[in-house]
Formats: sequence, C-alpha cells, structure tokens
Amino acid sequence: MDRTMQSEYFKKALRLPALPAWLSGAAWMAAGLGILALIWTLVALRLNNPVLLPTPTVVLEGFYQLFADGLLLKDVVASLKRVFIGFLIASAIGVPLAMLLAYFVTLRRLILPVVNLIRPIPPIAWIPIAILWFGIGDKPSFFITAIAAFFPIFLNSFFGGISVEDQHLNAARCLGAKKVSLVVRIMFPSALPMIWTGLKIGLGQSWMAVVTAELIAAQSGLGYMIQVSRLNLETSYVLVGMVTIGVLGSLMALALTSVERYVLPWKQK
Amino acid sequence: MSFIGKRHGLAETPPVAAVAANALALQRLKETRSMPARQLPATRAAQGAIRIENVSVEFKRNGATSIAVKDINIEIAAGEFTALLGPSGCGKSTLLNVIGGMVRPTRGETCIDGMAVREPSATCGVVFQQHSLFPWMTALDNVAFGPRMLGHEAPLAVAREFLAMVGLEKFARAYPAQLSGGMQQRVGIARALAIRPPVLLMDEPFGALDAQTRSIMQEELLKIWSELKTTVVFVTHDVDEAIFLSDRIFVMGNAPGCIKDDIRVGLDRPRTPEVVQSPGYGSLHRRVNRLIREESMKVFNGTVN
Repeated sequence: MDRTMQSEYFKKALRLPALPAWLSGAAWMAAGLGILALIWTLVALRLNNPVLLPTPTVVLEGFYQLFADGLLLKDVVASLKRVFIGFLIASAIGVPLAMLLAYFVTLRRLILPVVNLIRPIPPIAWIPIAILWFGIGDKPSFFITAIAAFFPIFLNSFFGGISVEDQHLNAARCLGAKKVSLVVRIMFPSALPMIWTGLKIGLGQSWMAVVTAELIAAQSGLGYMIQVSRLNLETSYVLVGMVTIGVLGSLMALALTSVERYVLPWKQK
Repeated sequence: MSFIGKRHGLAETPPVAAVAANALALQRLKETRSMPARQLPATRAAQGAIRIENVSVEFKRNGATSIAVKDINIEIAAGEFTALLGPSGCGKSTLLNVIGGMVRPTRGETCIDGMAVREPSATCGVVFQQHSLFPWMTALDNVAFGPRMLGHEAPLAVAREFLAMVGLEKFARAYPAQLSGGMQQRVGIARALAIRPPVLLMDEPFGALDAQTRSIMQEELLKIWSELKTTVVFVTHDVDEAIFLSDRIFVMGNAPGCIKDDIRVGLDRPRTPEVVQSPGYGSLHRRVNRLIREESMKVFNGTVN
C-alpha cells in the first residue's frame, strides 16, 4: 500500500494553485529559483573549476549553443518519443489488466503473485536483458520506460478497482448491468481517480527511466547526451541535459494536473 | 391488451432466473415505452407478487455461524406496499437483500412472479440508504443507466421523464455530490423506477434525512407509488413511517430474525400527515410499538446477543 500513500502525497503535491493565487504562486516560484541560482553561482565561483561546476551563465550559454545547433531538440524529441511510447504501452496493458484482476478473483490469485515478484526489480536491472533482446536504440528504451511506468499504473488502477463500492455494483446489477458493463461502466470510472494518479506517477517514473536507459542502451536522447558530455568533460552540457530533464518533467506533470478537471469532472468543487 | 395474456405465460415459465427476468424487463420496457405514465397501472397490475418460502440466512464469521433470519414465510401480493419493521439487527435488511438477490439464502427460496430469484436483476429496483448513486455520472445519466443497460432506444428521454416525476428535471446535469441528501434519494428513486421494475425494494431510504425532509419524501413516495402501483418492500425501524406508508407491516423479531406479526394497515388512502389523528391510528401505533419495544428490550437487557 506504500504506493497508494505515495500517490496520495503526489496528488496533493501536484495540485495547481487556485486562479486568484496564480500570480503570487509564480512570484514565489521565481523567488525560489532565484535563490537556487544565487547559491549555485556562489558555489561555482568559490570552486572556480568549470569541470566540477560551471556557473549558471556558462550553462545558459551551453544551452544556447546546443539549441542553436539543433542537437538539443533532436535529443529531446528522441527522449520524449521513448517516454510516450513506453508510457502508452504500460497504460494499455496496466489499466485493463488491473481491471480484470480487480473483477475476476481467480485471475487475481493467478497473476498477482507474479506481478508482486517482478515489481521489486528496478528498471535499471532490466537493461542488460533489454539490450540482449532488442539491441541498441529505441526498442530497449521503449521496454525500459514501459517497465518503469507499468507498476505505478497497474497498482494504483488495481487498488482503485478493488475499492469499488459493493453497493454500486449491486445497484448496477439491479439495473440490468452484466459483467462487461460492470467492469467498463462501474469499476473503471469508480477507479478512475486512482488510475489517473497512477498515470501521473507512471509518466514521471517513465521519464526517469528513459535517462537511465539512454545512458547505456541508446545513441541519442538526453541521457546519451549527458553521458557523452561527461566523457568529454563538458560539464556545462551535462547540466544543460539535467536542467532540461527537470523542466520537461515538471511541465508534463503540470499538463496532466491541468487536464484533470476534464478527466474527473465529478471530483471538482 | 392482448399482451397481458402473453406476459402471464412468460411469468409462469420455469425459473431460468436472471436471464429470463431481464428479457422480461426488456420486453416490459419496450411495451411501455411510448405510453404516458398514467396508463401504466392498468397494464401491469398483475406483476410483482413475491413469495418467500422457508428462507433462512446464516453468516459464517470467524468460524462461528450466526443466523440472520430463520424460517421466513411471506407472501406479498402484486402492487402491495409492505414494510419490514424491526429493531436494528433483526435481519430486515438481510431479508430485503434476499428478495433482491444480493444475498443467497442458506435454505429456502424466493420467487417473484413465479420465478426464483438467483442473483440481482432488473426485476427489482433497489433504493439504498444513501450514497448509492454513481458519483461519476450526472443525475440524468444515473437515471438513464438502467434503460441503457436494458437496450432502451431513448434512455435519456426516459430518464428526463422520471427525473421530472421526482421534481428534479432542473438538476439533470448536476453530479450527486452537488445535490443534497434528499435530492440524492429522489434521484435514487427515479433511477430505480426508470426500468419500471415489478418490485421496488427500499432499504431505510430516508433514514439519513432530517425529519422535515423525510416527511415530505414519504408523501412524495406515496404519490409516485399511487401512479406506478409497483410492489414496494420498505425496510424501516420507524413505527410512524411504517404505518404512514404501508398496506401491511411485517414486524420482525430478534435472534434469530423472524416475523413476529403481520399487521394490515386499514387506513384510507391517499394519506396525508393528518392521518395520525384518524381513529384507527392510535391503537395501531400502540400495538406495533409494543411489539417493537419488546424486541428492543430483549437486546437492551442482553437476553439475546
């Protein structure tokens, strides 16, 4: 159940500020980032070693170079593609499987132990197998991002599914609903808030995993760029990659949170 | 009128349980689709007769068996408004769930119009105590759910008709969480009735409402029932509520749950809250109250666990 508690936490942490407070929220964020940049600059100047830690301005310069060159965009697109495809595969398998296991007890007894056995294996441990099976490039990365996204999506959906109210199932049966309708029209929507949380966490996990996968099993993408820049002692490019990952990751989380009201209209105040 | 005979034929076929029950509900829905609500009573007067035969329900808890209800025998005529009245823990909700197919009896059988009840089906509309509306659907979609499941051609039109019947057409697009408790129960009643079930089961539907709302809801329910004439089984622990609503009250006793008395309420209809001043009311109330009090005292004194 640690995942569900975690998901509750994320739900709270990711909530957008209310509209009137929007501007003050932005101001606070700018202040926070400003403090971070200030500390970073001070430490970098004190160290006075661009290989260990370049100043933010040097990193910004590196960002501009990579961006103007088109390299950065190419790597971002490569990484995003891997994240989304892996995430889609994980969702397409995780959500329906979770619904089936939540509804059919026999299937649950059969498959849940297997899932629990595979769950503790971290995505990074799958990389050697992924390379053996799929070689180097997109395919092993799809596999790794899918594995990373699968468990939060599946587990949240599953717990959402089994916590469906008996009363809702009985009410639906008394209105003529059969198995398929019970799963699709009752269990699925009643689990949707949890499924949505799972998707948000899954996307984050998948984003983290893509970098890991690209460090080893790819020749493009932000992870690959970080790895190559480290070997070339281009620390500013390493930091460009890291900042880009951070910014894109938060934007994705923000995007999911901002469409939530359309996915879960009954949950809005 | 020719389909009345046809439907009788269907009702007496051997119990193929839920599939047949649903087919029946579907057919009924199709037949009644284009008819105005006021013509309905005449066409479906003979439906919704309930027979409960030697029903016992036992629950196993931590290895120990507890008997919820024992050897219940009841016959309820089609179109009758009956109350299951008793102190908490007497198994009245369990008995209701047996009629609805939500609980399988350990022994005995329940039949509705001659067909054995095996699982929940569209034969019984159910109104639960609270929070049974689907929170992810609007009021309109909640009411349209049943007609939709039964393959109705215009489920939304039916839903609008029934929402209007409970006076909530203006709240069609509201989600349950945006409605008051009383409004939610009205939507629940509309939802249960929208498939025109022969039997309406109500499990303390007004128990969570304040006294004023409850009294208004009771009158409203009687008005709707007098139009649709469906068989109603109404679970309550409120003596006044049972007398005000019912044709017949089954007073239930404790440990194990059983029928202590079967009381006919002869009060005139239509009933208004002034019925409490009518001559028969006082003695009826005293009689029922004494029975209930005996049972409650047993529990209170620990004669039964």
